[in-house]
Amino acid sequence: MTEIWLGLFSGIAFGFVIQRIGATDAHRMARSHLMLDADIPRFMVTAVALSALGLFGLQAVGLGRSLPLPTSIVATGLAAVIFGIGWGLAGYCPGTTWAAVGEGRMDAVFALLGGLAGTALFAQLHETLIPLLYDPTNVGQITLTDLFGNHAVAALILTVGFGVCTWGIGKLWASGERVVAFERGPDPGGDHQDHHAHMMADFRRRFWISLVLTAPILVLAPLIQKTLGIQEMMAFPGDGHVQFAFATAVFFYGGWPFLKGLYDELSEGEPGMMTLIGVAILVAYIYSSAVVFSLPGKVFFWELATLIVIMLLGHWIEMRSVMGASGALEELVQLLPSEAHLLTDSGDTEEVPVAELSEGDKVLVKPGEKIPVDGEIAAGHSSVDESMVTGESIPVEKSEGEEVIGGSVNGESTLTISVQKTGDDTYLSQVVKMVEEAQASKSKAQNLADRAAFWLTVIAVSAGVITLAAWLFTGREFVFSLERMVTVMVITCPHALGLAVPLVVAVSTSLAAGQGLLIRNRTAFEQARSLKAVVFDKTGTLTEGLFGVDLVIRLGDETEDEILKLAASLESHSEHPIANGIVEMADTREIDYPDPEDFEAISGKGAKAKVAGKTVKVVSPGYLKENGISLENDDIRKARDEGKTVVYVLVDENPIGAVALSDKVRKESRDAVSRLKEMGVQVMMLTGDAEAVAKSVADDLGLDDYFAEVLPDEKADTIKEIKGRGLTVAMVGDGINDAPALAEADIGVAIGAGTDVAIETADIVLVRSDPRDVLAIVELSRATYKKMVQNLWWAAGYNIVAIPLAAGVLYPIWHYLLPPAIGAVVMSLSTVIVAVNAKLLGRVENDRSRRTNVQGDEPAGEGSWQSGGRNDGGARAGRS
Amino acid sequence: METKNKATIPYWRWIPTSFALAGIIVFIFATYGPPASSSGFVSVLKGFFQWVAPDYAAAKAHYKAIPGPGSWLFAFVLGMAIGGFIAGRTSKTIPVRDMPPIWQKRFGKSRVKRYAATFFGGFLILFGSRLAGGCTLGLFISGSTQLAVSGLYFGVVIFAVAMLTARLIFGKVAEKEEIQ
Repeated sequence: MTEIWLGLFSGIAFGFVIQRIGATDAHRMARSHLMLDADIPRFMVTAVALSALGLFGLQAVGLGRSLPLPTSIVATGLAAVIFGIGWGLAGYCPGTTWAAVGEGRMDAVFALLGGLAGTALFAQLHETLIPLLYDPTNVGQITLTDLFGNHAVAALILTVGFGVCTWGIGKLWASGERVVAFERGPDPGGDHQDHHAHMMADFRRRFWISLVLTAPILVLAPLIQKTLGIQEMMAFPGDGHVQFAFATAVFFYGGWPFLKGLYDELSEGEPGMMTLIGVAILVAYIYSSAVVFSLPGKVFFWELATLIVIMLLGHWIEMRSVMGASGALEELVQLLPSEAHLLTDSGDTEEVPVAELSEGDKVLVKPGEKIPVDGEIAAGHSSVDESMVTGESIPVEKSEGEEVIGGSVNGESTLTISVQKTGDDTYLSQVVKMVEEAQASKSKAQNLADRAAFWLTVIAVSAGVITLAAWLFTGREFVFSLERMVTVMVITCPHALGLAVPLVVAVSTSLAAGQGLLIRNRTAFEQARSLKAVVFDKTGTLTEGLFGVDLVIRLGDETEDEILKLAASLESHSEHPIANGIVEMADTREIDYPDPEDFEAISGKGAKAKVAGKTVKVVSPGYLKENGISLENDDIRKARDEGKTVVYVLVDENPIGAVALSDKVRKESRDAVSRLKEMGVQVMMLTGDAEAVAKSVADDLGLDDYFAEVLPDEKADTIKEIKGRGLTVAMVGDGINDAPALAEADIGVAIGAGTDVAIETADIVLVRSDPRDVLAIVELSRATYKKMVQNLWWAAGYNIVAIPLAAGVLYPIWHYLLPPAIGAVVMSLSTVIVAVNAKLLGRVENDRSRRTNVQGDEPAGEGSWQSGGRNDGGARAGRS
Repeated sequence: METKNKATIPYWRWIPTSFALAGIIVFIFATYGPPASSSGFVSVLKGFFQWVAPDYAAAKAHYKAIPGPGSWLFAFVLGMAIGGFIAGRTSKTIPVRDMPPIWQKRFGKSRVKRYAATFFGGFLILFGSRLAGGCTLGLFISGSTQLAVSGLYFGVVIFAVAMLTARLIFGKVAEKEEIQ
């Protein structure tokens, strides 16, 4: 007995130390073999040298047994080659395999299994191989003492020799200290995504290890032995204790997440899935253990183990399918540069961290640089690209006295900015804060499985208590009543329940991904089935965010085509969205236009160039006003009233025509809106654009409602207001300024080209920018929900019959108790049905392969055109 | 790169760890005899065959030579697994992973491949160990500690072959800096 304890103790110490040096890490071992890491060989050699000295000392005082080594040169050499190949391949040697298995490395488990196979084969061949390879006259047992004649000298030589080895390894191998972050596992304090991945890996590991540990339990289970007719062969005295040992391991290791979950759910007062499983395994384990050690009755070890294994599998599958695209809100803040050029009193600039800036400081922003803080332009004039902040795709002209937002990009000339807000007060920080608040306020919707589990828990506990009480009341002995109670409580926690929802989730997530819907938040997705209102951000979602020419208005003798020809010629040198719209129209009408000469932008108001000898200008109304050109035209007035953007074409300062443009409504939008309305969903629009623009789009599409001139920070409030009407709201948007609204909505949907922050905040991301995908979400959500309900029935429905039978309702009449074998068959059957049924969700979805055309015209870039007509005709004038 | 990451090595330093392991080995020599871990595999199998096929276990010379469960050898390997478990659970820095990153770089993410490779590798190391009558621990460490030439010989060959094998398997990957 002492020997066992000594062996166990030595093994634990040994395993611990080799884990700590990294010998159980096949990665480190491979690096050692590749001479990239010297530590392991140095460690091994040194440990041997020290051990040899220690053994020498032991033997000097008459301790320390040594054994003869039965080996020969040929056999040892051959063996070493075989061993070396295996070692180089797997990175494990026999000792480290055991410790690595203990650590929970899956590849080591397979090395262990392979090792057992190798051992079994050698043992089988032992009688053949040994006489063949071993030569009793061989010199395998020679020691250094034999060679050097003196034990002390031999020990010294070994130590010195190994010392030289250690030094040599240190020289030849790369330094073991060149271990970089790549070596390391996920940081335990990492972000949410890491945490999720970590949890998933944890479930996966627990599942596989528990599965292996469950095998012996199944083999030893009397029920399974009896069913397979192998009881005679397998059963042995004391097998109950072996089962107990394995079940204990499964219970504590595999069951740990559920026991912890049971505690967490109960302390939060929200009993759900974890509670149901936790209670079932706890009752099964405690009762079965009591039975093993004295109490008469039957054990539930195999039910316990399989329940844990299947539940672990279910959680693993669920987590794996839920892990979607995710980034970090911090990216938003990273838009801000970390340093700024501070203007000192002497007029020099000094590089300072942004955090050190304070209100009133003057900073210099060079062309192309990001503006570090919110502030006011103190000197300079430049166009500022605010697309990353506001979603506005056109650079805005800004000059002295105008405000700039931190994170936007300075255009062509240097600006001096007077700092107004820093740190948490900046616009970007405010947006981050709003998003966080909205996310935090999102109510934690009870999901379906948890609700089902809650009721099953109630049923399990009450049925158990009733069963116990009823049997005791009728005068049965306590042991019998207890067994009935435990049977009922264990049976009430159906194995299939663990898979019912996760499998549907897995199937629907992959179906969704196939359709270009990335689901990041399952709860929100499940809510989509009861969607009552969809709010679209206008630009880039319902509309394309691109200008199209609606109307060419003649103001002189020139024909529409001539007007377009001159305008397109000039604008062909401009990248402006309005210019693009005009050029596109000219191309559509197949108008040939000449190349312009002397193209020049009129800052903020248009452009001019020489076309065919004439000076042509395309300008905003602001230019006309400034130059005292007055125009009265009914068509122009009408176009402006409809929210269109109007630009004028001037030849030698004479207006010859006007072009009215507006943001084009997507073709898919009409389809999406009408289908959503058919489904009884209200469709609304939210935009920062002017009332007139919003109204024309809303009327065009037949929307139920619209909200115009909504400032970015008011969007979330608008959503809140709609929620206040008692509607389940989805918000569809793409920009940073949509982020708080996406978070506030019941279902936040980011559209494909959206910014990272919009995607981060959204519950669902549409890969394609097709508003019809919102429809697909609702349909898939409804189908998924239906499947889940079906599956829950398949998983738990048989309980309606099984529980009373297990409780022994028929016992008084027919002496019938639910035979455990029947219970097991029903349980397995329902698991299979659940799995198959989940797969059938794919079939339902295939009927919907109706998506046909138009995927090509997605808006480019991450921002979108958001204020098409806010300045009504003055698209090039800055927003001030 | 080299000095910057010095502090991030998750493993113990090799010199103190060598002393710790030597202490354990000397303790084992004092209380039992030369330690061995591949014999633990035989112990486990012996126990298994004694249960399912007692006649076979009794007939084979290899099983006769090694004690079954209930021996020091068996307890030792069991202890190693427990030691690994404790060490793995208590370390916050040493990554426990199912696949070495270097393997993943070379052969991709397929678990099946990795598991098949370790299974085969495990097969080879144990077949080799049983043929030699010991493994890294049972022959190289135990043997060399007893000043046995065969232990040293075994140690040199296994290191050399493993280095060669690793070079053949990971060769290209090893040349790249990122596997550092």
